[in-house]
Amino acid sequence: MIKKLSNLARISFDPKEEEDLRKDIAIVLDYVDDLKEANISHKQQDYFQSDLSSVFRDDVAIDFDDKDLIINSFNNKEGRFLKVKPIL
Amino acid sequence: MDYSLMTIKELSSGLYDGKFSSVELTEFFLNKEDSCSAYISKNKELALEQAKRADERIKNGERGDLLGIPIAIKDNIMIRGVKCTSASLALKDYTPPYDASVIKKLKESGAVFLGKTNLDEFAMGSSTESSFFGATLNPIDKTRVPGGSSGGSAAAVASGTTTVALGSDTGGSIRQPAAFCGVVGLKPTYGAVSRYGLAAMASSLDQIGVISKNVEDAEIVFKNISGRDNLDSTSADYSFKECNVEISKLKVGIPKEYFIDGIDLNMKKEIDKSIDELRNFGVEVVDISLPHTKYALSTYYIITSSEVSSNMGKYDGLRYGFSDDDAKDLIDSYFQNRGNGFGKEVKRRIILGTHTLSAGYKDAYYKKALEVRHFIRQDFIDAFKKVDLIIAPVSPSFPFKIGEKATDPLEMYLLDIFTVTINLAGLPALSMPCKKLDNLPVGIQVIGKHFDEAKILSAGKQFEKIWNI
Repeated sequence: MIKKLSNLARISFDPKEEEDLRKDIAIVLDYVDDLKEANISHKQQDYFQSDLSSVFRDDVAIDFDDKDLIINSFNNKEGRFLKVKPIL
Repeated sequence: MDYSLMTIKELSSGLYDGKFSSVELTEFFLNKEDSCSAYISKNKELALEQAKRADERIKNGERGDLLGIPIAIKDNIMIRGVKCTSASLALKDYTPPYDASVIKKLKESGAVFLGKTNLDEFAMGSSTESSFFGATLNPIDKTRVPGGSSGGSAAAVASGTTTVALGSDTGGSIRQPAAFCGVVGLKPTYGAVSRYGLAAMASSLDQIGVISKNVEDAEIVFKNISGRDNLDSTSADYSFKECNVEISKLKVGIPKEYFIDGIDLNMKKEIDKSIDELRNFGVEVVDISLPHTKYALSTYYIITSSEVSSNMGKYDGLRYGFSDDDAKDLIDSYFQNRGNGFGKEVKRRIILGTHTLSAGYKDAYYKKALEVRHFIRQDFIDAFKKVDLIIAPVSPSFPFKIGEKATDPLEMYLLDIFTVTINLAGLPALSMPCKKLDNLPVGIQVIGKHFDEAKILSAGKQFEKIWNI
């Protein structure tokens, strides 16, 4: 299971980490299993967190005033472009 | 002059009366030894520049609650041009190109940013031991943890290396460290303070708030950072209006589900005594029930892990953050950057959340947790039809020894049992010390209705005098 999940999450683990994680996840999943007994099927279901209204912004491009600070954070760059490892 | 014990109002009046300058104040706090490792970094240059500007504004006759007042900022809140690490190797050298909305507001108020405080990596933890930069110590007893995840902010306030601090609270991360360090912590209503510029952990629960020496200081900072922000679509059209509650007319509910087996019995006795003291001042105290509390911790850990797995997806180490040069191709660089950049707890939660959101399991875990969350929230709404405020313990135990619970994730998660419900319901809550036992503080939560911060703060100021800690 951990192998499949690490592939989905794109995270590498060494064998020791994988073994520890297997145990930890099993303990936590066992604990949260009590939710299965929560009998809420007869009640109205509503996922809203609170009475907040969404704010939609106009679909307009806004120029960011400090692009250099973003570009300087790139780990690998060529000029002002982000350079990544080969895709294939 | 020792400024470390002074409140915001005391410092403001000294600044306005010309008894000292903001530069003097700032230098005092910057030079004070950080013996608890509360800070990840200090911003000497920026702080002194801000203090100088505040002094000029004061000289020109300007007045303001936070003008020239030093404040520490949890290191998961962005300040433009100042490293923001989230206490992770993954963001060790990350310098944000923008200000969080709370930072913009504080800059306008003239506050002075002393530095960035330590936290559990990406705010995932209850002890500030999982920071890449090492653990923070509890100023009351340096062999114990300060709580977490805003342990650095709480320790900085308690040790007098700042006047006040910002923290963030996803499941108790302001209230529990405040309780462990014997200071005050305010977790505002979800939506009352903009989350724009806070490194997201679980977006439907995260909330920026305040850690301070007393309730009045928490109120001052909250007043300055709250309100609607178009950059956070979940922020509410809210403005703080101070109120003065008469405590002899207050009806307070005590939820029976929060005084369960497992709570430290000595702590329970002290909380019972504190509640009796309120009774003596005319507060009506009644028993209430929040029946879905038993499912809160499971609900919380499923929802947070699911949201964590989604929010952490953006950290690929390409545009910023930790990068492993040895990766053989693009896909491998994702695996290596994330595998080597994140710590154990972060990876544990990403994997757990990936599982609870994956095909075949989503309905059983995530969808079920969302449904139960609704009923946890409804419990509180029903309770607030009968009472004005709810009082509960913050933590089931006193601050524990460093390393004591580091190997058992479930034991660590259980510490959040009394705080997570508040985030699931989106409510405001104030954590404040009510007693001391063997020099260790006992924390109590004062919980209010959505957007009832004014009431909990007004009551808190009066409870503070009654408990006299």
